[in-house]
Amino acid sequence: MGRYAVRRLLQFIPVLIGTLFLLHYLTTLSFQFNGNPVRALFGDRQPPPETIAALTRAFGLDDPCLSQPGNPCVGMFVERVGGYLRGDFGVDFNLQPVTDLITRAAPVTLRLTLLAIVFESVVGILAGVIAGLRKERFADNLVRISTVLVISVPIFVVGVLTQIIFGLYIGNWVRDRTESETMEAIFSISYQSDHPWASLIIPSMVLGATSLGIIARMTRTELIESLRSDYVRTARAKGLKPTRIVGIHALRNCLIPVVTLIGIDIGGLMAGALITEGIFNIPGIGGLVFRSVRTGETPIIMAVVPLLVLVYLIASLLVDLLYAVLDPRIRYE
Amino acid sequence: MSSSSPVTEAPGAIPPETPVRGRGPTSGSIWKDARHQLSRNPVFVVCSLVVLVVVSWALFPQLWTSLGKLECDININRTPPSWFPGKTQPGYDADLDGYVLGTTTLGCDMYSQIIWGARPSIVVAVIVTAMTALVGTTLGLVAGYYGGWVDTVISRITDIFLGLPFLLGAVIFLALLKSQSIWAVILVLVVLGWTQMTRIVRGTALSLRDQDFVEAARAMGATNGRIILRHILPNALAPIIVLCTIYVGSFIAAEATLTFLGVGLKPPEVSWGITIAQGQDFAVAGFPHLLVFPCIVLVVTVLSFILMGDALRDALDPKGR
Amino acid sequence: MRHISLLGIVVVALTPMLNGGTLMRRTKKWLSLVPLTLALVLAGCSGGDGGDEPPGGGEPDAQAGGAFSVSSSEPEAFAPTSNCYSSDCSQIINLVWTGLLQVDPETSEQQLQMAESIESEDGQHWTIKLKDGFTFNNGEPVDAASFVRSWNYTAYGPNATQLGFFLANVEGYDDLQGEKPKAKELSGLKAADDLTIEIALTKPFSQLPLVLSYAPLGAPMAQACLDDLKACNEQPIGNGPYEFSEPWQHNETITLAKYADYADQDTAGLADEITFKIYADLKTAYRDFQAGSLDIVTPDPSQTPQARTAYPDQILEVDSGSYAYFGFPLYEEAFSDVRIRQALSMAIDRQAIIDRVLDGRFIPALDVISPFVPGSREDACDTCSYDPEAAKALFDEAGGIPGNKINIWFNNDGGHEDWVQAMAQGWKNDLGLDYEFKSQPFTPYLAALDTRSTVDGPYRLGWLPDYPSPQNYLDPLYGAGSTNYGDWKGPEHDQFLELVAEGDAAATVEEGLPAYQAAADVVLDNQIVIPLWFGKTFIVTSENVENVEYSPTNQLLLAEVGVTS
Repeated sequence: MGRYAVRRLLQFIPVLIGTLFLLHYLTTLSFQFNGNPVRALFGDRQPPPETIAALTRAFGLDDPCLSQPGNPCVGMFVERVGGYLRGDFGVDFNLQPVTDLITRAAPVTLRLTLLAIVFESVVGILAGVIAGLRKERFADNLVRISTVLVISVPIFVVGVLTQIIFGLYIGNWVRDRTESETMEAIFSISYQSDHPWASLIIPSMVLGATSLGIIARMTRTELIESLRSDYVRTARAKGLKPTRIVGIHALRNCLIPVVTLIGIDIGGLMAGALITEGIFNIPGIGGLVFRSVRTGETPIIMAVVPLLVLVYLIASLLVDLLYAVLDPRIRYE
Repeated sequence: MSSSSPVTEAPGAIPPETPVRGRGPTSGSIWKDARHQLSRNPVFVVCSLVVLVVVSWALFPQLWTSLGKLECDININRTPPSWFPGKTQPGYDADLDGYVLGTTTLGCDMYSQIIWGARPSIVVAVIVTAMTALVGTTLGLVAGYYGGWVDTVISRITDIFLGLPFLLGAVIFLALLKSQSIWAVILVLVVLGWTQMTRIVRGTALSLRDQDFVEAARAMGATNGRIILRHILPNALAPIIVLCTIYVGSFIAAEATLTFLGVGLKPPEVSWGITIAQGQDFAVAGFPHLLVFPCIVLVVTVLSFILMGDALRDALDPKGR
Repeated sequence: MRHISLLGIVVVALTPMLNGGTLMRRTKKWLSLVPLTLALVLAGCSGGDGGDEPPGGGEPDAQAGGAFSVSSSEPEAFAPTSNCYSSDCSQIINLVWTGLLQVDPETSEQQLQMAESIESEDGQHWTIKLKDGFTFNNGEPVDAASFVRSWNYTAYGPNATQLGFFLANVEGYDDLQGEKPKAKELSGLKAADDLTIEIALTKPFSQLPLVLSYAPLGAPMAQACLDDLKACNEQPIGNGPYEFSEPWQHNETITLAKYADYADQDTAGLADEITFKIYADLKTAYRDFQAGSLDIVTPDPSQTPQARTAYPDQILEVDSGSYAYFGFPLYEEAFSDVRIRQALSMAIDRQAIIDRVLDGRFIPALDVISPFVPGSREDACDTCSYDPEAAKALFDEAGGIPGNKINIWFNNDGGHEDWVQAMAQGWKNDLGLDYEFKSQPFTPYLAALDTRSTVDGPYRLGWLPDYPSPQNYLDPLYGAGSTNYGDWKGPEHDQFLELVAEGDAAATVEEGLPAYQAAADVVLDNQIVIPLWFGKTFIVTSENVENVEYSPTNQLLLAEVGVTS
């Protein structure tokens, strides 16, 4: 297993370099064909050319190959990756180091992701189990319909409606009746830096809603599957209590793929936070990248996106290893 | 499409270790069974009717509305229909005749905007799904069947795109493209959407290639191409079709989400995403009808595709009987 | 001799008019009725004379103390201040720094702050004398060196400041540019003694004080700040009425408290604490306001109708100085006939678009100079009112447009789609003209405009002035080295340039007005652009605050805001 892990870790390198080069080439092409994003900083004003030149230089966008459409700028790419190895990730358009921006934004997004995962796994698995046990009955249909509904309503609509209902209507009702700051933070409209966990609870529910639907559906299918299996039939024949059958035998087995799904979801959630973060004014990774693609701040895109890919790769490796631990039938060599 | 893309197992996919039995396309009993089962499933019937209606909006909008795409009058904009419940903002309470669903932010007839908006939404979803299926199936079959270095290369490339979070990736690609035509949206959705299909088809192909019937075909001297096309593909078809149905729904929603984020389609194009994006800000600030109507249409359509996929999967899954 | 005249103190009790957002129409005459809040500022600026006035004297309800919160976007930078270019950012700079002078939002009169006097014999060599006794938050004195230090840093090319080019007409600026500049300091800038700054320009420029009144440019810089810019950016060292009470919480909050050692009690702030809550999306800010956790907010345009209904008496609507227009690619044959340009202008129902699509946040433009600066007129443009019949007649008389179709150019990341579509639909209805949108994000849009050949139809642009002068609405838009993307040239353009130069050379802004107005007439008579509308602020305030005032150059005058509860 150790050798397997090392081999997988080594495979990260080409994937990361591939991602970096893909982003590098895209941003380069964008610069070459769409023009210098520095000019747009000045809006409707026309700054003198030397000002543009000085800013372009300061942002590291003065490589002559950027004025040759189609040129992949390999030299610039090598320089960039060299900088990354030295820990230099460049600066944004306000001359702030990108590393600073990431260290500020990442903890917020991590907290949000963690809460979303707790929410989606607890509620998702619970709903899936209820639906699976009451197959084809009211509870099952309710869970099935509501989970599909959650998947099909656009997340920005869910987000804004949640914000207005919980933050404004219920929130105002709560604020009139409680002195507890934590309660007020939970039902606040936007992120409160004084309550870094409480004010993220409702946003995390919005973020986790989509995956919740998928988890519930998967739990349901897997549970129904394992309830039909031979070992459950054996357990029944032995006269074990139904709660024990479901809790120990059926559920434990069917949770393996669900756990896999949740593990891999971490990376997706961190990036999927884009819309949720925007609606609830959460200063996280998603907002950072969204801002950078609009302004053309290449260094931010080039640093954050590979980071998210790395999170995804590590998460899927861990899940694969966990799989081998949980399921003795799987062996890696 | 869900913002959390890296899902190893699609909600509608048949687990790869349970391949559909059968020897090539001639043994269509599973399809016959499925057809029989589906025609008696009310959910499937209703959903297909919805899909038919929406497709007819996309193909022949003039059959459904006499108004043109951009016949609008800003002097009656944002007006809810007279039957719509709730308080109306002052100045936007004109009593409109003939506007069953009220007017949009620019004073167009909401009903005809929804009809006209079906085409780009459906076109994007269908083309993207078709391209995704083509790319994903080809790569998945090749990777799964040949294995070895071919598999390694394809899998690593898949990793790059799978690791790119779907929504974020789409926003970055579209922002960098700086083109907001329907083709740019399609291109970006295909580029980011093929990975899941590849993974699932690869898994199916992997589990099929050592099966007895494949071994037998090989022993009889069939070429690799023939084995893939005649033996592996037909057996992988069921999960592909299920996934495609769900994809159409997901990509309709994806178009709306990208448009909402300002990187999707742009006016004067008319699409559901645009109508929702234009109206949603005002909708939550006193003009709910601007969001309610297009959103209902969007959700019902997406829901229909997903439920259709669900029913298809149940019907095609031999274990489900 | 150009001594900045100091305005006498005129106190007229107009407080009721300021509460509740129904502001009087702005008057442009000097020494007209000056609202009470301004009297405070004036008192502070009149040197020794005003010092006798008790702070807030005669003001019944603008009490000191309390705390309030304001919505803001994430500022760009505070060290150096010259990297701060958004209005939200310079609004904070206005509180944390005090510059040499500011411009009265009502009268456009110059009011000295750190400066004791700003004088020049010839408009080219300037002497600025500073007041004594002011200190930075860290105890350093605010002296001539602190201003020179700030401007040298700003102008030095490799520092890549956003506003460096504002100092381009100071002697020696060119030597500081390029990758390896010849010099590190502006040769035309000297601290003659502790309290005297001498500036030499390359040519006479009477508006230098106005340029220096721009807060991010005019703010001094402490030596400690230059020594450690990174630390100073997080915990700025200013000299204004407020200071950062805690380091900058990026993307979250900025909390200011009164600076205890601020030397001029007359311009000191009223509230004890001001919190800026930073939002990436205005819509969330307004919902926070609805939930009671914000006091002053600028709602998203889409929330305007709801805010008008919900808070009719708490809205502050005044000129914001912004100006929206469509330019013409004059190099294109189709737009070379002035009648075509006039017809297009007259076929826009500005009032209807403002009322229905833009929710009344603008006023139709009948001039190219915003109403808030002196010299603006209400009837300068004959062809800017809606007249579909006349437009159609002119359009047909001129032979229409080849192909009967135009491309409309605008950037699609600024929320312009709706009104552009309404405008284009009007052209289609009134002139029978087909249209196509050539919309793209701002960067490629500007790149296309910069070519001065790619753009083949009317293009959208907007303008926000740097300083309140009619000159700032003319030269940067149509002059040489300006955003003259339509490539306007020929005898009329020469005439325009001459008139602007005549205005620049006048002894005072007042005396220059006729020339500036004549220059504006040249633009309008030839319909070089289609003036559309001038912006108004739309600020909603809670009942906790009063005396909320706005000026296009200084944004919200937050130091004067009082807290009622």
